[in-house]
Amino acid sequence: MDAASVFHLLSEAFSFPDMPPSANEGIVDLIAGFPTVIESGNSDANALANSISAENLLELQAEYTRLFINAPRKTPAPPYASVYLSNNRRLMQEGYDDTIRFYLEAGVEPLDGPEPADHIFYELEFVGLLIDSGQAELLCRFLKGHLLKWYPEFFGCILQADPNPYYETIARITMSSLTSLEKEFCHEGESNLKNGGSL
Amino acid sequence: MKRREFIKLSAAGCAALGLMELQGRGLFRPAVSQGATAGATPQYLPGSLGAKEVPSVCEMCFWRCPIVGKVKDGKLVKIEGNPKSPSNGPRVCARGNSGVQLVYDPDRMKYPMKRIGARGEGKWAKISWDEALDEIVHNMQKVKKEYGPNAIAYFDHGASAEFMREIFKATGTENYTNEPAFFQCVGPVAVAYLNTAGYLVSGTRQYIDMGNAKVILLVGSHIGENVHVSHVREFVAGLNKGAKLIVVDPRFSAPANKADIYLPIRPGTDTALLLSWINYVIQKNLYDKEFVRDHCNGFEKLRESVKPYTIEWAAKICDLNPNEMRKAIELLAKHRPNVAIHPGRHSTWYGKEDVGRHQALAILNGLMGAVAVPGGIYFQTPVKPGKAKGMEVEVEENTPAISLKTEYPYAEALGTPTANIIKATLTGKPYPIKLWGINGVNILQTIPNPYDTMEAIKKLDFIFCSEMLAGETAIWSDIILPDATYLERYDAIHTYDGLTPYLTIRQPVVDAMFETRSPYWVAHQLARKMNINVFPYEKEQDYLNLQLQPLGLSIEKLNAQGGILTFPSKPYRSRKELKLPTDSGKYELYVEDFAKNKLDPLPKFITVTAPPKGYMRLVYGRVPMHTFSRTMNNLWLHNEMPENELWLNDEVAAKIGIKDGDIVVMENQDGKKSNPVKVKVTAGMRPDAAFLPHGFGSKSPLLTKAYNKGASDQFMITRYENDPYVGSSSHRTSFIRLIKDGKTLDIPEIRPLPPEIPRFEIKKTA
Repeated sequence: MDAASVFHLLSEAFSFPDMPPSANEGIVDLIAGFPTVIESGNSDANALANSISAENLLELQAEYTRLFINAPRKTPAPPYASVYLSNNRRLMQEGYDDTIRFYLEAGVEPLDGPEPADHIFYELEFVGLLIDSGQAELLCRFLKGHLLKWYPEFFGCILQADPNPYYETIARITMSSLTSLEKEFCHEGESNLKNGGSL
Repeated sequence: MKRREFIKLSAAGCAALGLMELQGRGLFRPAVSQGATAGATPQYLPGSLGAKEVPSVCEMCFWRCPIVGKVKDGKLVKIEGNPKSPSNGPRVCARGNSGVQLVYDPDRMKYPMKRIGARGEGKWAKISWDEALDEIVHNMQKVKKEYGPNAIAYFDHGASAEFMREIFKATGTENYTNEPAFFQCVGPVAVAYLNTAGYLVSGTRQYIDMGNAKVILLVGSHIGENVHVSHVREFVAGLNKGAKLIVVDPRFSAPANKADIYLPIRPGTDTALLLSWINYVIQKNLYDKEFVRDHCNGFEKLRESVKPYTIEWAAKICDLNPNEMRKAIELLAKHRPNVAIHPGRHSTWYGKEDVGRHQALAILNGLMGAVAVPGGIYFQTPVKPGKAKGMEVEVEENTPAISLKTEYPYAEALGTPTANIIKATLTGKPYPIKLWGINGVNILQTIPNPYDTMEAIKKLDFIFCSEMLAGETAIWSDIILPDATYLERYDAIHTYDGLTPYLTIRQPVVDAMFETRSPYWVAHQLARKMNINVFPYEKEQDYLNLQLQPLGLSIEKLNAQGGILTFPSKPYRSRKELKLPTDSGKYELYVEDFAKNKLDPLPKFITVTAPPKGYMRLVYGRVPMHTFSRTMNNLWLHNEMPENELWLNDEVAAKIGIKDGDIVVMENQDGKKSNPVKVKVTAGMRPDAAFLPHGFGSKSPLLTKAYNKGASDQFMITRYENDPYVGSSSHRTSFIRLIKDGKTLDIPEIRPLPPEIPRFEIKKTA
């Protein structure tokens, strides 16, 4: 699977689910392609595949709602850059402005949707688009100067919220893919990666 | 992949994305904004400078000050008062400022949700608006068919709830409005003044001219801690001009701090004080004889009925110094008629005597002749916009054979007493209630005995709510509708009929976020789905423009003149032209209508049971930076005041070994325990009561910041009585003792109780 597709699929996985993961061939392939990430997360790839294929849609939607929209105790992991990059944990603040500046620099703008454009699924999709068009320099600035500044904290919030295996896996694959992308393409002349994709 | 491959893969190494065919999931389009290239984003002025200003109306509390929202790039950056507003001008309070935080709160409700776990578990899935509304319509129809229309009940409050009220009205239920705002707040004061002066001297607003008063009397009102901007400004203006201030309060409140005479009264005895004052001014001929002769009814009956109430008697009952009591009433009488006897607002204190207490205030006001004169109570100046057809459902008003309203003669016009709704839901008597709709109110933090409320909810077939933030109510709901905040929507036309009359509108300052929708949109959709003939306008602007038309205005024209239209006021009347809006045209010192309904036509002293041995009374109040429980999760306001403190008398504290800052748990007469709460030890609190700022101690785990911060007075109020006039529920009839380090501490009695006041007896459970 090429790098751009990985990010397009991750963007999809971070959107509100409209089918169970087992019914989405792309997602099944994606997870199968990251066995080392899964094992580093202390679960075995076969067991995970089984639990994911048993996941029914309503439960998955409830879990997505709980983690990313509204839930008891709090919204454990609001998926917006602004929440992590602004000094007051609010939507639509500096972190959001930052995102929009990168989009404009690339010559694109987000379609109007119910979600603010600094939602993680927009940002992962944008990474995919930058890979598609080969804008290496902008991609590296976006990763270093923006997405990797907030994704790790967001990732921590997801893990803290005791997510189901599927969302834990998606979050881990995203972390690992962003890190290796940055390591491999944004350090001219360095290639210190031992095996593609492990963190 | 290595870097080389990455470059190879790309079709055009340095073309801007927008010029390529965008692949992927179609979330982006080529940018159309001119100059959308690197580094060309405009450099804005700092802060809110250069922002677009949109006039609107605040709803952080129910005073509703005119505001302007400052918007940059489609984002709200600051809120200020509308400088054109004659009431608040460019000022807003802390809560008004922090509306910015409400809109951008990551914990806000974003999409319609349905419950998929057990009720109260808080497990939801996002659903579409259609599904959510269909579910509501289906359940309303099902419940109506199975149990009849009265099995449907609506708890409503504030601007967001008014449109949906029409939907409930159309179902044919008698329970289409039960405003906790009325039955837990202004019910008694509204009824007392409506029947004495003939108009609503105190409801949402208080028509009391403090700015021009020579003396101001506050009985329990803590203006300044309870911030309604223009009201506070009038109070301050009055003091600035030299008004003397008399404050009656068991707690040394912010206004007590400014008082010339402070009377630290025993809680539950205010009526005794007022009756003794009424008797005193009659006996000493200190009242306005001309006003009483020409404009009052029932003076002789009043004179007779208050004879037993002497200052000495009241001094003992109220635990006050009789000389100070005399000094206060003489000061008031000396400056009549230009005296502001504040009618009070939240009046549901003790139950049986609440209406009488406010009637006594109104009578004192009449004896001072403080009616339609500078400094007294004044007349409203009605502001009348035009009509838009079809905004209300026409129903035949008929009281069913079995009704929840008949027991309370003055409830009918205003709704169903909330206590009766909850009882009927719990017991199925006199008829079953199976569906609740809740809009704009957190019923668990508002209505006494929330434990009963939770039990009642378990008995419902269906419950839904409209919410901006997930309070306790959302956790218990089957369907949650996400409300657009007041900054993201239109509402009804907003008028102010006080000393500075104006008309303005609420309008969206920014686009509604996520899939939140305005109350009108929701009600409009429900009306379509249920074939109810109401709300014919697709867009809110359509009815607003129709209502503005007779004034020669439209939304656009109103905005062009700063968003506000002001009118001259006519608050005062000469004695010659004075005619009260009662049936007789006179000020009713004796209310015939009360007598007709077998209620006391004149206020009398009704004892309020004192705390049991070892307990003290729990009283509560407001703080300037919060509006009840609704603002607890607001980042800025939370930062100003994250939790509440329990005010405890210093002598009591010394006797039971509690120091300032200690953490205690409250335990009430029914054995209910509170969250741990910090104690503020102070000489400014009577020894027989403790005070807790209201709205804290949220039980909703959804509210990130507010959850379990401080203690909730509401969850301690498990004992209440209903007043016989309107059926409102008393809030100051629960008692507490303290638990520290696991040890229960009895409260010592420092001020002896006179034999006239019985103690509340705790029932021993076998």
